[in-house]
Amino acid sequence: MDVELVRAEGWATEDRDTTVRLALEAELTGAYRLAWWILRDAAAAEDAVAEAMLRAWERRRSLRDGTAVEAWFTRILVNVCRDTQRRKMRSEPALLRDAVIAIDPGVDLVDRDEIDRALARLTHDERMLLALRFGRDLAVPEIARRLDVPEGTAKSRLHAALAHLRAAVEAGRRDTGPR
Amino acid sequence: MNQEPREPVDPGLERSLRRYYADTALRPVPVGLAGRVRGGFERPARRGMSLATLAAAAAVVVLLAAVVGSPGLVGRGDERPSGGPLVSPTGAAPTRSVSFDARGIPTTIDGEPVLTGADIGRHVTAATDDTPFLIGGTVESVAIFCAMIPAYPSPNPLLQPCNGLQIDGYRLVWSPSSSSARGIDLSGPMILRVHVHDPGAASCPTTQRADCEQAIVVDERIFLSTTTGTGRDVEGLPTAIEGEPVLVGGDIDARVATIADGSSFLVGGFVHRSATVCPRAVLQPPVNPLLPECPMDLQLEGGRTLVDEHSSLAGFGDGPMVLRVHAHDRRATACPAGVRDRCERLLFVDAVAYQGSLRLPVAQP
Repeated sequence: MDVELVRAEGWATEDRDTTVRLALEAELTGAYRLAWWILRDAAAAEDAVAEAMLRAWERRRSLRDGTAVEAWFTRILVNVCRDTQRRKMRSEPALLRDAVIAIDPGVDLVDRDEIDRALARLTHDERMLLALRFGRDLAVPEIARRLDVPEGTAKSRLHAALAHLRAAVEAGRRDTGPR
Repeated sequence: MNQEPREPVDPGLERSLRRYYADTALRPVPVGLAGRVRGGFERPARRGMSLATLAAAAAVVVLLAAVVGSPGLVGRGDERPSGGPLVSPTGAAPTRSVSFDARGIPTTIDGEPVLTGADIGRHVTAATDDTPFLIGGTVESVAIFCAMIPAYPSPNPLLQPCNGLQIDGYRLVWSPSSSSARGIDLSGPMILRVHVHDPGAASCPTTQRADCEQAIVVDERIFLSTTTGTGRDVEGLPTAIEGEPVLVGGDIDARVATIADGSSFLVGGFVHRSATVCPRAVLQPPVNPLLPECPMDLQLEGGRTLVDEHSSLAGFGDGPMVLRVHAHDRRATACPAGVRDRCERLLFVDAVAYQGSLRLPVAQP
Protein backbone atom coordinates (compact mmCIF):
# COMPACT_ATOMS: atom_id res chain seq x y z
CA MET A 1 0.00 0.00 0.00
CA ASP A 2 1.26 3.45 -0.87
CA VAL A 3 2.24 5.15 2.36
CA GLU A 4 1.80 8.58 0.91
CA LEU A 5 -1.71 7.68 -0.26
CA VAL A 6 -2.62 6.44 3.19
CA ARG A 7 -1.29 9.64 4.69
CA ALA A 8 -3.15 11.75 2.19
CA GLU A 9 -6.35 9.88 2.95
CA GLY A 10 -5.80 10.14 6.66
CA TRP A 11 -5.24 13.82 6.25
CA ALA A 12 -8.37 14.18 4.19
CA THR A 13 -10.49 12.29 6.70
CA GLU A 14 -9.42 14.67 9.44
CA ASP A 15 -7.67 11.89 11.36
CA ARG A 16 -4.60 14.04 11.27
CA ASP A 17 -3.20 13.27 14.67
CA THR A 18 -3.06 9.57 13.87
CA THR A 19 -1.55 10.29 10.48
CA VAL A 20 1.18 12.46 11.96
CA ARG A 21 1.83 10.07 14.79
CA LEU A 22 2.22 7.06 12.52
CA ALA A 23 4.43 9.05 10.18
CA LEU A 24 6.63 10.20 13.03
CA GLU A 25 6.91 6.72 14.49
CA ALA A 26 7.94 5.47 11.05
CA GLU A 27 10.73 8.05 11.08
CA LEU A 28 12.19 6.89 14.36
CA THR A 29 14.97 4.63 13.13
CA GLY A 30 16.07 6.94 10.35
CA ALA A 31 15.91 9.90 12.68
CA TYR A 32 18.12 8.22 15.24
CA ARG A 33 20.69 7.34 12.60
CA LEU A 34 20.70 10.85 11.23
CA ALA A 35 21.03 12.35 14.71
CA TRP A 36 23.87 9.98 15.51
CA TRP A 37 25.66 10.83 12.29
CA ILE A 38 25.38 14.50 13.09
CA LEU A 39 26.06 14.43 16.82
CA ARG A 40 28.30 11.37 16.97
CA ASP A 41 27.07 10.57 20.46
CA ALA A 42 24.50 7.86 21.15
CA ALA A 43 22.97 9.46 24.22
CA ALA A 44 22.82 12.89 22.64
CA ALA A 45 21.28 11.40 19.51
CA GLU A 46 18.64 9.62 21.54
CA ASP A 47 17.78 12.79 23.42
CA ALA A 48 17.69 14.79 20.23
CA VAL A 49 15.29 12.38 18.57
CA ALA A 50 13.01 12.31 21.59
CA GLU A 51 13.04 16.08 21.81
CA ALA A 52 12.46 16.49 18.07
CA MET A 53 9.57 14.03 18.15
CA LEU A 54 8.00 15.91 21.01
CA ARG A 55 8.51 19.27 19.31
CA ALA A 56 7.01 17.89 16.13
CA TRP A 57 4.06 16.47 18.00
CA GLU A 58 3.42 19.74 19.76
CA ARG A 59 3.60 21.62 16.47
CA ARG A 60 1.60 19.12 14.44
CA ARG A 61 -1.22 21.64 13.92
CA SER A 62 1.16 23.76 11.88
CA LEU A 63 1.65 20.98 9.37
CA ARG A 64 -0.36 21.67 6.24
CA ASP A 65 0.34 18.59 4.20
CA GLY A 66 0.15 15.05 5.54
CA THR A 67 2.54 13.79 2.91
CA ALA A 68 5.26 16.23 3.90
CA VAL A 69 5.89 14.87 7.38
CA GLU A 70 9.40 13.58 6.66
CA ALA A 71 10.72 16.83 5.29
CA TRP A 72 9.03 18.80 8.05
CA PHE A 73 10.33 16.48 10.75
CA THR A 74 13.86 16.48 9.32
CA ARG A 75 13.93 20.26 9.63
CA ILE A 76 12.87 19.99 13.26
CA LEU A 77 15.40 17.25 14.00
CA VAL A 78 18.21 19.16 12.36
CA ASN A 79 17.36 22.21 14.43
CA VAL A 80 17.28 20.17 17.61
CA CYS A 81 20.66 18.70 16.75
CA ARG A 82 21.95 22.21 16.19
CA ASP A 83 20.61 23.26 19.59
CA THR A 84 22.17 20.21 21.17
CA GLN A 85 25.49 21.02 19.63
CA ARG A 86 25.34 24.59 20.85
CA ARG A 87 24.44 23.48 24.34
CA LYS A 88 27.33 21.11 24.45
CA MET A 89 29.49 24.17 23.85
CA ARG A 90 32.15 22.05 22.41
CA SER A 91 34.65 24.09 20.58
CA GLU A 92 34.32 23.48 16.90
CA PRO A 93 37.17 21.57 15.38
CA ALA A 94 39.86 23.59 13.76
CA LEU A 95 38.26 24.96 10.67
CA LEU A 96 39.80 23.60 7.58
CA ARG A 97 38.25 25.93 5.09
CA ASP A 98 40.99 28.49 5.43
CA ALA A 99 43.73 25.98 5.20
CA VAL A 100 45.54 25.30 2.02
CA ILE A 101 43.66 22.32 0.75
CA ALA A 102 45.68 20.12 -1.42
CA ILE A 103 43.04 17.72 -2.56
CA ASP A 104 44.07 14.72 -4.43
CA PRO A 105 40.83 13.80 -6.16
CA GLY A 106 42.09 10.34 -6.64
CA VAL A 107 39.93 7.31 -6.46
CA ASP A 108 41.62 5.80 -3.45
CA LEU A 109 39.16 4.46 -0.96
CA VAL A 110 39.33 5.75 2.55
CA ASP A 111 38.81 3.30 5.33
CA ARG A 112 36.03 3.60 7.82
CA ASP A 113 38.15 4.76 10.72
CA GLU A 114 39.68 7.49 8.62
CA ILE A 115 36.24 8.66 7.55
CA ASP A 116 35.10 8.56 11.13
CA ARG A 117 38.01 10.66 12.34
CA ALA A 118 37.65 13.05 9.44
CA LEU A 119 33.93 13.53 10.06
CA ALA A 120 34.71 14.39 13.65
CA ARG A 121 36.75 17.32 12.37
CA LEU A 122 33.90 18.77 10.35
CA THR A 123 31.29 21.18 11.58
CA HIS A 124 27.86 20.05 12.61
CA ASP A 125 26.29 21.49 9.46
CA GLU A 126 28.80 19.78 7.22
CA ARG A 127 28.14 16.43 8.87
CA MET A 128 24.43 17.02 8.50
CA LEU A 129 24.73 17.67 4.77
CA LEU A 130 26.92 14.65 4.16
CA ALA A 131 24.61 12.44 6.21
CA LEU A 132 21.57 13.55 4.26
CA ARG A 133 23.33 13.13 0.94
CA PHE A 134 25.26 9.93 1.44
CA GLY A 135 23.59 8.41 4.49
CA ARG A 136 20.00 9.11 3.61
CA ASP A 137 20.79 9.09 -0.11
CA LEU A 138 18.78 12.22 -0.76
CA ALA A 139 19.24 14.23 -3.91
CA VAL A 140 20.30 17.83 -3.62
CA PRO A 141 16.83 19.29 -4.36
CA GLU A 142 15.35 17.13 -1.59
CA ILE A 143 18.09 18.17 0.82
CA ALA A 144 17.38 21.79 -0.04
CA ARG A 145 13.69 21.24 0.61
CA ARG A 146 14.31 19.59 3.96
CA LEU A 147 16.70 22.27 5.09
CA ASP A 148 14.57 25.03 3.66
CA VAL A 149 17.43 26.56 1.70
CA PRO A 150 17.80 27.29 -2.03
CA GLU A 151 19.00 24.37 -4.11
CA GLY A 152 22.12 26.23 -5.18
CA THR A 153 23.01 26.87 -1.57
CA ALA A 154 22.60 23.22 -0.67
CA LYS A 155 24.74 22.19 -3.61
CA SER A 156 27.59 24.58 -2.88
CA ARG A 157 27.58 23.71 0.81
CA LEU A 158 27.66 20.06 -0.04
CA HIS A 159 30.61 20.59 -2.32
CA ALA A 160 32.39 22.52 0.38
CA ALA A 161 31.63 19.82 2.94
CA LEU A 162 33.12 17.18 0.69
CA ALA A 163 36.19 19.28 0.11
CA HIS A 164 36.61 19.79 3.82
CA LEU A 165 36.16 16.10 4.42
CA ARG A 166 38.87 15.32 1.93
CA ALA A 167 41.12 17.86 3.58
CA ALA A 168 40.35 16.34 6.97
CA VAL A 169 41.25 12.90 5.65
CA GLU A 170 44.53 14.22 4.30
CA ALA A 171 45.21 16.03 7.57
CA GLY A 172 44.50 12.83 9.47
CA ARG A 173 46.94 10.95 7.27
CA ARG A 174 49.60 13.55 7.86
CA ASP A 175 48.99 13.28 11.61
CA THR A 176 49.28 9.53 11.67
CA GLY A 177 52.01 9.19 9.09
CA PRO A 178 51.91 7.45 5.76
CA ARG A 179 49.59 4.51 5.45
CA MET B 1 15.20 9.06 -4.76
CA ASN B 2 18.67 10.04 -5.83
CA GLN B 3 18.12 10.94 -9.45
CA GLU B 4 20.17 14.06 -9.76
CA PRO B 5 22.75 13.74 -12.53
CA ARG B 6 25.95 15.36 -11.47
CA GLU B 7 29.65 15.03 -11.81
CA PRO B 8 31.24 13.27 -8.86
CA VAL B 9 33.99 15.46 -7.51
CA ASP B 10 35.75 12.81 -5.53
CA PRO B 11 34.38 9.41 -6.43
CA GLY B 12 36.68 7.49 -4.13
CA LEU B 13 35.73 9.57 -1.15
CA GLU B 14 32.04 9.42 -1.98
CA ARG B 15 32.14 5.64 -2.26
CA SER B 16 33.92 5.51 1.09
CA LEU B 17 31.32 7.77 2.60
CA ARG B 18 28.47 5.65 1.34
CA ARG B 19 30.12 2.57 2.75
CA TYR B 20 30.70 4.32 6.06
CA TYR B 21 27.05 5.34 6.33
CA ALA B 22 25.85 1.91 5.25
CA ASP B 23 27.98 0.32 7.96
CA THR B 24 27.01 2.69 10.70
CA ALA B 25 23.34 2.60 9.75
CA LEU B 26 23.30 -0.81 11.39
CA ARG B 27 23.68 0.89 14.75
CA PRO B 28 20.66 -0.27 16.75
CA VAL B 29 18.13 2.22 17.95
CA PRO B 30 18.32 2.33 21.75
CA VAL B 31 15.85 0.16 23.54
CA GLY B 32 13.34 2.43 25.12
CA LEU B 33 13.52 5.27 22.63
CA ALA B 34 10.30 4.21 20.95
CA GLY B 35 8.53 4.01 24.31
CA ARG B 36 9.96 7.35 25.31
CA VAL B 37 8.68 8.93 22.12
CA ARG B 38 5.27 7.30 22.38
CA GLY B 39 5.08 8.42 25.98
CA GLY B 40 5.69 11.95 24.77
CA PHE B 41 2.83 11.65 22.30
CA GLU B 42 0.49 10.67 25.08
CA ARG B 43 1.46 13.25 27.64
CA PRO B 44 -0.29 16.56 27.95
CA ALA B 45 1.42 19.35 26.05
CA ARG B 46 4.37 20.97 27.74
CA ARG B 47 4.00 24.43 29.00
CA GLY B 48 6.10 26.41 26.66
CA MET B 49 9.54 25.32 27.80
CA SER B 50 11.55 22.38 26.59
CA LEU B 51 13.15 20.01 29.03
CA ALA B 52 16.51 21.44 28.21
CA THR B 53 15.22 24.95 28.71
CA LEU B 54 13.74 23.97 32.03
CA ALA B 55 16.93 22.33 33.16
CA ALA B 56 18.99 25.26 31.97
CA ALA B 57 16.63 27.72 33.62
CA ALA B 58 16.83 25.79 36.86
CA ALA B 59 20.60 25.80 36.77
CA VAL B 60 20.61 29.53 36.09
CA VAL B 61 18.20 30.14 38.94
CA VAL B 62 20.37 28.14 41.29
CA LEU B 63 23.49 29.95 40.25
CA LEU B 64 21.86 33.34 40.34
CA ALA B 65 20.46 32.65 43.76
CA ALA B 66 23.88 31.71 44.93
CA VAL B 67 26.11 34.17 43.17
CA VAL B 68 24.03 37.31 42.88
CA GLY B 69 22.93 37.19 46.44
CA SER B 70 19.28 36.35 46.32
CA PRO B 71 17.46 35.82 49.58
CA GLY B 72 18.71 32.95 51.63
CA LEU B 73 22.05 32.39 50.12
CA VAL B 74 24.41 30.44 52.21
CA GLY B 75 23.52 30.38 55.80
CA ARG B 76 25.08 28.42 58.54
CA GLY B 77 22.57 26.39 60.42
CA ASP B 78 23.29 28.14 63.67
CA GLU B 79 22.87 31.61 62.18
CA ARG B 80 19.13 31.51 61.78
CA PRO B 81 16.95 33.56 64.07
CA SER B 82 15.75 31.36 66.86
CA GLY B 83 12.19 30.20 66.40
CA GLY B 84 11.87 31.97 63.09
CA PRO B 85 12.13 30.73 59.56
CA LEU B 86 15.27 28.80 58.82
CA VAL B 87 16.25 31.31 56.19
CA SER B 88 14.46 34.57 56.08
CA PRO B 89 12.29 35.01 52.99
CA THR B 90 13.29 38.63 52.95
CA GLY B 91 16.93 37.83 52.67
CA ALA B 92 18.28 38.14 56.15
CA ALA B 93 20.88 35.49 55.52
CA PRO B 94 24.32 36.83 54.72
CA THR B 95 25.43 37.07 51.15
CA ARG B 96 28.28 34.84 50.21
CA SER B 97 29.96 33.89 47.02
CA VAL B 98 29.67 30.30 45.97
CA SER B 99 30.73 28.33 42.95
CA PHE B 100 29.46 24.88 42.11
CA ASP B 101 30.74 21.75 40.48
CA ALA B 102 28.76 19.50 38.17
CA ARG B 103 27.09 17.68 41.05
CA GLY B 104 25.80 20.89 42.51
CA ILE B 105 28.39 20.75 45.28
CA PRO B 106 30.03 24.10 45.91
CA THR B 107 33.71 24.14 45.06
CA THR B 108 34.35 27.22 47.15
CA ILE B 109 32.41 29.23 49.70
CA ASP B 110 33.70 32.71 50.27
CA GLY B 111 36.91 31.63 48.65
CA GLU B 112 37.39 28.74 51.05
CA PRO B 113 37.80 25.52 49.11
CA VAL B 114 35.33 22.71 49.59
CA LEU B 115 37.23 19.45 49.37
CA THR B 116 35.56 16.53 47.67
CA GLY B 117 36.41 12.95 46.76
CA ALA B 118 40.03 11.94 47.00
CA ASP B 119 41.02 15.46 48.03
CA ILE B 120 39.36 14.78 51.36
CA GLY B 121 41.58 11.78 51.94
CA ARG B 122 44.68 13.67 50.86
CA HIS B 123 43.92 16.52 53.24
CA VAL B 124 43.20 14.15 56.11
CA THR B 125 46.53 12.44 55.56
CA ALA B 126 48.45 15.69 55.25
CA ALA B 127 46.81 17.59 58.13
CA THR B 128 48.91 18.03 61.21
CA ASP B 129 46.44 19.80 63.50
CA ASP B 130 42.74 20.25 64.08
CA THR B 131 42.24 23.31 61.87
CA PRO B 132 38.69 23.04 60.50
CA PHE B 133 38.11 22.67 56.76
CA LEU B 134 35.16 22.23 54.46
CA ILE B 135 34.25 19.02 52.75
CA GLY B 136 31.44 18.33 50.32
CA GLY B 137 29.87 15.28 48.85
CA THR B 138 27.04 12.88 49.17
CA VAL B 139 26.32 11.81 52.68
CA GLU B 140 24.78 8.39 52.93
CA SER B 141 23.89 5.89 55.52
CA VAL B 142 25.82 2.70 55.80
CA ALA B 143 23.99 1.61 58.91
CA ILE B 144 22.39 -1.35 57.21
CA PHE B 145 25.73 -3.10 57.13
CA CYS B 146 26.49 -2.61 60.78
CA ALA B 147 24.84 -5.83 61.82
CA MET B 148 27.46 -7.67 59.82
CA ILE B 149 30.42 -5.91 61.40
CA PRO B 150 31.84 -7.35 64.63
CA ALA B 151 31.68 -4.94 67.51
CA TYR B 152 34.60 -2.53 67.33
CA PRO B 153 36.91 -3.15 70.26
CA SER B 154 36.85 0.39 71.54
CA PRO B 155 34.32 2.59 73.21
CA ASN B 156 36.07 5.74 72.02
CA PRO B 157 33.59 8.00 70.26
CA LEU B 158 36.11 8.76 67.55
CA LEU B 159 35.92 5.16 66.46
CA GLN B 160 32.39 4.58 65.39
CA PRO B 161 32.34 2.18 62.52
CA CYS B 162 28.60 1.89 62.65
CA ASN B 163 27.53 5.42 63.26
CA GLY B 164 25.83 5.02 59.92
CA LEU B 165 27.10 7.92 57.88
CA GLN B 166 29.85 8.59 55.44
CA ILE B 167 30.57 11.19 52.84
CA ASP B 168 31.79 9.98 49.48
CA GLY B 169 33.07 6.91 51.23
CA TYR B 170 34.76 8.68 54.15
CA ARG B 171 33.37 7.83 57.54
CA LEU B 172 32.10 10.71 59.61
CA VAL B 173 32.10 11.20 63.33
CA TRP B 174 29.86 13.69 65.03
CA SER B 175 31.62 16.01 67.36
CA PRO B 176 29.97 15.97 70.79
CA SER B 177 29.85 19.74 70.61
CA SER B 178 28.45 20.07 67.11
CA SER B 179 24.81 20.91 67.62
CA SER B 180 24.01 21.97 64.09
CA ALA B 181 25.47 18.88 62.55
CA ARG B 182 23.73 16.34 64.70
CA GLY B 183 22.22 13.58 62.67
CA ILE B 184 18.90 14.89 61.53
CA ASP B 185 17.69 13.24 58.39
CA LEU B 186 21.15 13.42 56.93
CA SER B 187 21.52 12.14 53.43
CA GLY B 188 22.28 13.56 50.05
CA PRO B 189 24.75 16.19 48.96
CA MET B 190 25.93 18.52 51.65
CA ILE B 191 28.75 20.63 52.93
CA LEU B 192 30.30 20.00 56.31
CA ARG B 193 32.88 21.84 58.34
CA VAL B 194 35.09 19.21 59.86
CA HIS B 195 38.39 18.68 61.56
CA VAL B 196 40.81 15.84 62.14
CA HIS B 197 43.32 15.35 64.94
CA ASP B 198 40.56 15.82 67.44
CA PRO B 199 41.90 16.36 70.98
CA GLY B 200 39.93 13.30 72.03
CA ALA B 201 42.36 11.16 70.07
CA ALA B 202 44.77 11.48 72.96
CA SER B 203 42.62 9.10 74.96
CA CYS B 204 42.56 6.42 72.29
CA PRO B 205 44.54 3.26 72.85
CA THR B 206 47.94 3.43 71.24
CA THR B 207 47.06 0.72 68.75
CA GLN B 208 44.11 2.76 67.51
CA ARG B 209 45.64 6.22 67.86
CA ALA B 210 46.26 6.66 64.13
CA ASP B 211 42.63 5.87 63.33
CA CYS B 212 41.49 8.32 65.98
CA GLU B 213 43.79 11.07 64.71
CA GLN B 214 42.40 10.69 61.21
CA ALA B 215 38.75 10.44 62.21
CA ILE B 216 36.79 13.14 60.36
CA VAL B 217 34.87 14.95 63.05
CA VAL B 218 31.93 17.08 61.95
CA ASP B 219 31.71 20.51 63.57
CA GLU B 220 28.79 21.87 61.66
CA ARG B 221 26.73 21.52 58.58
CA ILE B 222 26.73 24.34 56.06
CA PHE B 223 23.39 25.03 54.48
CA LEU B 224 22.50 26.50 51.14
CA SER B 225 19.10 27.61 50.02
CA THR B 226 17.48 28.79 46.84
CA THR B 227 14.50 30.84 45.98
CA THR B 228 12.47 30.98 42.82
CA GLY B 229 9.00 30.70 41.40
CA THR B 230 6.01 32.07 43.11
CA GLY B 231 6.87 30.97 46.57
CA ARG B 232 9.21 28.85 48.55
CA ASP B 233 8.71 26.10 51.01
CA VAL B 234 11.12 25.18 53.74
CA GLU B 235 13.11 23.04 51.37
CA GLY B 236 13.86 25.99 49.17
CA LEU B 237 11.73 24.63 46.37
CA PRO B 238 9.13 26.64 44.52
CA THR B 239 5.59 26.04 45.65
CA ALA B 240 4.30 26.58 42.14
CA ILE B 241 5.70 26.76 38.62
CA GLU B 242 3.82 28.80 36.07
CA GLY B 243 0.79 28.64 38.31
CA GLU B 244 0.82 24.88 38.67
CA PRO B 245 1.19 23.82 42.28
CA VAL B 246 4.15 21.74 43.35
CA LEU B 247 2.85 18.95 45.53
CA VAL B 248 4.90 17.82 48.48
CA GLY B 249 4.60 15.24 51.22
CA GLY B 250 1.14 13.94 51.89
CA ASP B 251 -0.35 16.03 49.10
CA ILE B 252 1.40 13.74 46.65
CA ASP B 253 -0.20 10.68 48.16
CA ALA B 254 -3.57 12.43 48.20
CA ARG B 255 -3.21 13.31 44.53
CA VAL B 256 -2.31 9.75 43.64
CA ALA B 257 -5.15 8.40 45.72
CA THR B 258 -7.84 10.65 44.34
CA ILE B 259 -6.97 11.03 40.68
CA ALA B 260 -6.59 7.68 39.01
CA ASP B 261 -5.67 8.76 35.52
CA GLY B 262 -2.15 9.00 34.18
CA SER B 263 -2.06 12.77 33.90
CA SER B 264 1.12 14.42 35.01
CA PHE B 265 1.66 16.72 37.96
CA LEU B 266 4.51 18.42 39.76
CA VAL B 267 6.06 17.02 42.90
CA GLY B 268 8.78 18.49 45.02
CA GLY B 269 11.20 17.06 47.51
CA PHE B 270 14.58 15.56 48.00
CA VAL B 271 15.51 13.05 45.32
CA HIS B 272 17.87 10.39 46.49
CA ARG B 273 19.64 7.59 44.67
CA SER B 274 20.84 4.77 46.81
CA ALA B 275 24.55 4.23 46.42
CA THR B 276 24.52 1.06 48.44
CA VAL B 277 23.60 -2.46 47.56
CA CYS B 278 19.90 -2.99 47.81
CA PRO B 279 19.10 -4.76 51.07
CA ARG B 280 17.83 -8.22 50.29
CA ALA B 281 14.80 -7.67 52.45
CA VAL B 282 13.42 -5.03 50.13
CA LEU B 283 14.27 -6.59 46.79
CA GLN B 284 11.14 -6.98 44.74
CA PRO B 285 10.38 -10.32 43.20
CA PRO B 286 10.27 -9.98 39.43
CA VAL B 287 6.49 -10.12 39.35
CA ASN B 288 6.19 -7.29 36.89
CA PRO B 289 8.77 -5.39 34.89
CA LEU B 290 7.11 -2.15 35.87
CA LEU B 291 8.22 -2.53 39.46
CA PRO B 292 11.84 -1.62 40.05
CA GLU B 293 13.84 -4.45 41.46
CA CYS B 294 14.89 -2.24 44.31
CA PRO B 295 12.38 0.43 45.31
CA MET B 296 15.13 2.12 47.31
CA ASP B 297 17.27 2.79 44.26
CA LEU B 298 15.61 6.07 43.41
CA GLN B 299 13.28 7.75 45.80
CA LEU B 300 11.55 11.00 46.39
CA GLU B 301 11.57 12.22 49.94
CA GLY B 302 9.23 10.24 52.12
CA GLY B 303 10.11 6.87 50.64
CA ARG B 304 8.18 7.37 47.41
CA THR B 305 9.66 5.20 44.71
CA LEU B 306 10.52 6.95 41.47
CA VAL B 307 10.84 5.28 38.11
CA ASP B 308 13.07 7.14 35.69
CA GLU B 309 12.58 5.20 32.49
CA HIS B 310 13.69 8.04 30.25
CA SER B 311 16.80 8.91 32.26
CA SER B 312 15.41 12.36 32.93
CA LEU B 313 17.48 12.46 36.10
CA ALA B 314 20.70 11.47 34.39
CA GLY B 315 23.20 14.19 35.07
CA PHE B 316 21.43 15.44 38.14
CA GLY B 317 22.86 14.62 41.51
CA ASP B 318 20.84 13.95 44.61
CA GLY B 319 19.09 16.98 45.93
CA PRO B 320 15.86 18.90 46.17
CA MET B 321 14.00 18.95 42.90
CA VAL B 322 10.66 19.56 41.36
CA LEU B 323 9.73 16.76 39.01
CA ARG B 324 6.94 16.35 36.55
CA VAL B 325 5.64 12.86 37.17
CA HIS B 326 2.66 10.68 36.53
CA ALA B 327 1.24 7.82 38.49
CA HIS B 328 -1.31 5.25 37.37
CA ASP B 329 0.75 4.41 34.36
CA ARG B 330 -1.41 2.59 31.85
CA ARG B 331 0.84 -0.47 32.16
CA ALA B 332 -0.07 -0.76 35.82
CA THR B 333 -3.28 -2.51 34.86
CA ALA B 334 -1.17 -5.44 33.73
CA CYS B 335 0.36 -5.86 37.18
CA PRO B 336 -0.84 -8.88 39.13
CA ALA B 337 -3.53 -8.09 41.65
CA GLY B 338 -1.16 -8.61 44.54
CA VAL B 339 1.11 -5.77 43.48
CA ARG B 340 -1.33 -3.67 41.45
CA ASP B 341 -1.56 -1.03 44.11
CA ARG B 342 2.21 -0.63 44.20
CA CYS B 343 2.31 -0.34 40.42
CA GLU B 344 -0.42 2.27 40.43
CA ARG B 345 1.38 4.38 43.00
CA LEU B 346 4.76 4.39 41.31
CA LEU B 347 5.80 7.87 40.31
CA PHE B 348 7.14 7.91 36.76
CA VAL B 349 9.49 10.78 36.10
CA ASP B 350 8.54 12.67 32.95
CA ALA B 351 10.89 15.62 33.38
CA VAL B 352 12.94 17.62 35.83
CA ALA B 353 11.18 20.96 36.27
CA TYR B 354 13.51 22.54 38.80
CA GLN B 355 16.72 21.65 40.52
CA GLY B 356 17.21 23.11 43.93
CA SER B 357 20.44 23.58 45.72
CA LEU B 358 21.63 21.84 48.80
CA ARG B 359 19.02 21.16 51.31
CA LEU B 360 17.91 23.62 53.91
CA PRO B 361 18.04 22.52 57.48
CA VAL B 362 15.15 20.51 58.73
CA ALA B 363 13.32 22.24 61.51
CA GLN B 364 14.27 20.83 64.84
CA PRO B 365 11.72 20.37 67.54
